[in-house]
Amino acid sequence: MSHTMIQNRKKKIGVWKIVVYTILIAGGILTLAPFLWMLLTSFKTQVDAVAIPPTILPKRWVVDTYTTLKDKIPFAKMYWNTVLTSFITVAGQLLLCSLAGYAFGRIKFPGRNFLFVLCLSVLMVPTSFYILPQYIIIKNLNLLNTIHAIYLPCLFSAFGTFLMRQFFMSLPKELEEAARIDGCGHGGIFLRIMLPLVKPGLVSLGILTLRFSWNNLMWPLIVNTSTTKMTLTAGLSYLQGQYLADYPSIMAGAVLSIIPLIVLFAVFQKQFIEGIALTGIK
Amino acid sequence: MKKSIVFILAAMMVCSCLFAGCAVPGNTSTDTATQSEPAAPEATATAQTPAEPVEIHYAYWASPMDAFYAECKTAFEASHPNIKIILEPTAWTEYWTKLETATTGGSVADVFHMNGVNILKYADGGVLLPLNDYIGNSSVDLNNYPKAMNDMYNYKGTQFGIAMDYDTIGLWYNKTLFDQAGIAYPTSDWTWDDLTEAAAAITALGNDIYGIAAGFEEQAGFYNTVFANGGWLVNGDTFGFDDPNTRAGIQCWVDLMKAGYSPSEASLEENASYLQFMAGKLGMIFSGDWMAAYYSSADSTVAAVCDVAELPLMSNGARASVIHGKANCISASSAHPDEAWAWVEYLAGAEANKRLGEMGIAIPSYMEYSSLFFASYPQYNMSIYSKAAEEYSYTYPASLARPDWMDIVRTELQKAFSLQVTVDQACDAIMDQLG
Amino acid sequence: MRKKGHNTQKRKDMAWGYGMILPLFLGLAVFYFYPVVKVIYDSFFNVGAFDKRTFAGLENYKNMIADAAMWKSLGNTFLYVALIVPFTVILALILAELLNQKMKGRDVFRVIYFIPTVTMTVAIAMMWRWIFNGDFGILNHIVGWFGGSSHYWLSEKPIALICVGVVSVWMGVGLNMIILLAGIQGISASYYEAAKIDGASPVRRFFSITVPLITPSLFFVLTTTLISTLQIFDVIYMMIAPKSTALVDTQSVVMYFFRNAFEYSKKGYASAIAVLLFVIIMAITALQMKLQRKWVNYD
Repeated sequence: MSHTMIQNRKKKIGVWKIVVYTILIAGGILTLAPFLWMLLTSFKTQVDAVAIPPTILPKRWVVDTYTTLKDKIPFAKMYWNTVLTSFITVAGQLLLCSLAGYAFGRIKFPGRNFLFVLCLSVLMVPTSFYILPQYIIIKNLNLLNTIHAIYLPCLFSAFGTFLMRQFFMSLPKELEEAARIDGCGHGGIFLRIMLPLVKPGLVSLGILTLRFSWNNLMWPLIVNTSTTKMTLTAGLSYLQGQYLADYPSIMAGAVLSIIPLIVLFAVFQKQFIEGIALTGIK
Repeated sequence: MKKSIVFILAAMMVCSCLFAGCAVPGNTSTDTATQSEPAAPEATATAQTPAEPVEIHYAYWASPMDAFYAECKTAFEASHPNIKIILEPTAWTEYWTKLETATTGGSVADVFHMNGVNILKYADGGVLLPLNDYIGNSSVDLNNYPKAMNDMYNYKGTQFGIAMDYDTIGLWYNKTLFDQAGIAYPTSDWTWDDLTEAAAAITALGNDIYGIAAGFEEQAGFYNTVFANGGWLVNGDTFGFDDPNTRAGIQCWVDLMKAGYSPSEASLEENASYLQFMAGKLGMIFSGDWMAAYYSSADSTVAAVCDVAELPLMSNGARASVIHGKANCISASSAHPDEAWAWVEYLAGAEANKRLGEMGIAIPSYMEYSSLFFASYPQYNMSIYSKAAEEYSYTYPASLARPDWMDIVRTELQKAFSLQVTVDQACDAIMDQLG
Repeated sequence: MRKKGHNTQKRKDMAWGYGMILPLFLGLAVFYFYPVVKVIYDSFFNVGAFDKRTFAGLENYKNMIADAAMWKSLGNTFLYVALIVPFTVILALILAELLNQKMKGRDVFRVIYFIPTVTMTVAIAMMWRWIFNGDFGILNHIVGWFGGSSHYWLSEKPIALICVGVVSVWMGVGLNMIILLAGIQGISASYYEAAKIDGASPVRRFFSITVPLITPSLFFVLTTTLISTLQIFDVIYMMIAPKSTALVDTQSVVMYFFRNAFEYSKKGYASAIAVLLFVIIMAITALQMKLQRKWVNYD
């Protein structure tokens, strides 16, 4: 009897697995399609890329697009700018947001709720409204057309603060109390106890920030003028043209630009998942 | 929490009132500051070391013309050792947001590109340098450029820009489809009735092939027929959609739609007319000269079998083509207007225009060199484009008072082109909003 | 004595609290609070191109109340919220749970689902526009197999808005999945092991362990998705050409705001729209903050 029960259970698990895999594979195809589209378009000719009816495979495969990209835009320089600004943005946000997130999530101080809502209010105004005031501020700081102009406003994130606050808040009180008995102050609790435990939060904020800063289009174009001070996504938009975009070049540039992100994620996701399983917070 | 929100709102109101006190003078001071601030460090620098070249920043939207500007920069700097040109391209989609932000922020480039839609706003805003005196004291002769192009960049008697290139409209056709339908190719004597007949014959071929693209198009569409019909669109702050001639110039397109000689409006929006033409699905299409580069490309199925003719005559025996082109303008806040002018003068001159034509990128606005561009496409009858510019071109319409007029016109007329309302109903609706 | 200790702790808390938020707030004040204040200030002026302004009092607000196009775009925005927020959050949650299970190929799936968040929006738009294309799109083919009729999905009235919603959900799921997955990592494996011993089904595990224990992340995802959907703009811009017939029926309030600010040079009026949106978002967020006490489990 127990034997059939186990078999039933195994059958159930088998069915469950099939359901899960079906969902994941179907979703995966839908998810990967634009990336494949991007990859295939990068091997098409400009006219082939917008042909009617659309074709999936290139009529003739063009590899030149990848090699001529550096003649159309200062590709290497733009790539470096993207890496640099993204790195600074991620590092800055992780630092500032985890500090403020801890304060909002774990410390009681007067005006905390007010200040937190004030911080959130930043998210409630359409981003395009920030363009002109921020431009004038950057100009007054004498930073127009510099790399600093690209990342400076992005260092301060209400979104990231909110995210980190949620992660800090979900840690149990007992941890803090135990540390306090051991004579730990806020600095010690934050650095030695809490910060390692919110690693998943830090990693996901890092990923989201990296993605945002990698793809930030409008702001670098507004605040910087020379092509050598541009990030890659912004630089690729030069190929968009007024009438017919140079889609193959844009896609080729995009493919080259996101491969490191994918690799980075592939490496990191394993890291952050296992790092946590060991600590087991709850 | 509720309290704190009320608190924030109140605090912001108070702040905004406080700002009311300081922001207004603050803003006016940035205006004056714009003229001196960027200038100050450079001016002192040039005063101390006169050998240091003056930097002229040149902003434009990225296009196939980038290579041309790079050549001009090299040639210009060789003959003007005291000036250094800094090229600043921006993507077309962000160009206008950026230009306006930089102008408002007081750090716009010395020389920048302008188009027919935006010139009135910039000229009226007082942010452009008047060029009349510079033109008068130089070798530039405005008679070398199409009159309609000069008019476009002339605001209340002041010239604010000199055209770089121009675009007019022609009638492209697919010879294969004409042969299959057994009709003669378009000629300069063609009338709108001839066009309708040809469209009917080609549509009759079936197989998802249509005679013409008759969807809602502005520059490459009803603007041309409205002007040819003796109608008008904008004059100062009044609009011409009550004029029966204007309505007739729109009606002729909607008639083609009704007869089923064109893909539907929705089809043309989702699959651009020029792509359908390049795929060999359309017999005829109104297109600007810039499309020749795409129609002739290796992957265009019609490259070897298409050609271009003059636009057809309307029933009154007239024809018209809208003309448009970009111009170079100088910022009123430029610290080096003389050097900026030298660059504009060079770009407007014979040497630059000749080179632009030879490179085959756009029609040089200097009419003497227009034909050089056409030599890049010997297989097509491209000279109709310069004929249009010289003989029957109309300035691209623009409105200062109602920058939203084009959106209103499009919203309402698209309903007529999708056959949901009549042209009269659509025009009435337009006049209700613009009248 | 005890009171004194309590007081020093309070003072310490204050010092640490303010000290830790200070760097962030300095930056926010310079780059964000000032612009927010300026939006409110500008809404009382007629601001033309190049910041030319005259005082307008409440005129912008009066015009706004009478502006049918503004209300239409606000209505569209709420339709987007109703469509996008529930689907994005629920699908992200399910996906996060599935990708948390021990199974073969899990890492590969995680990477696959991450890819759209870094894929260029131009490519995403091109592909989806092709799917929905009225003449050559795959969707019409599929609908055809089931005997349905063809549509110009992105040009027809109610459908176009739904199509934009679908793409928006598709784009948002991967992002929120990452946050929720991180939240699930914080749940101790012992809960799941205990459930396994009890023989709880995966569905029950999901509802009785995962969902209640990741409410802080869920609250974050819900709040930020709601705020960003109320400001929906990019997806509409890339899916619906600015010259489409469907524009009026798909335009969101931020899109309408953008056109007023940058295309019609009516920055004062645009500011009034932004203030209205600000108040709406603020009210909804406040409501959420209040309601969270009922369902978000912080400890």
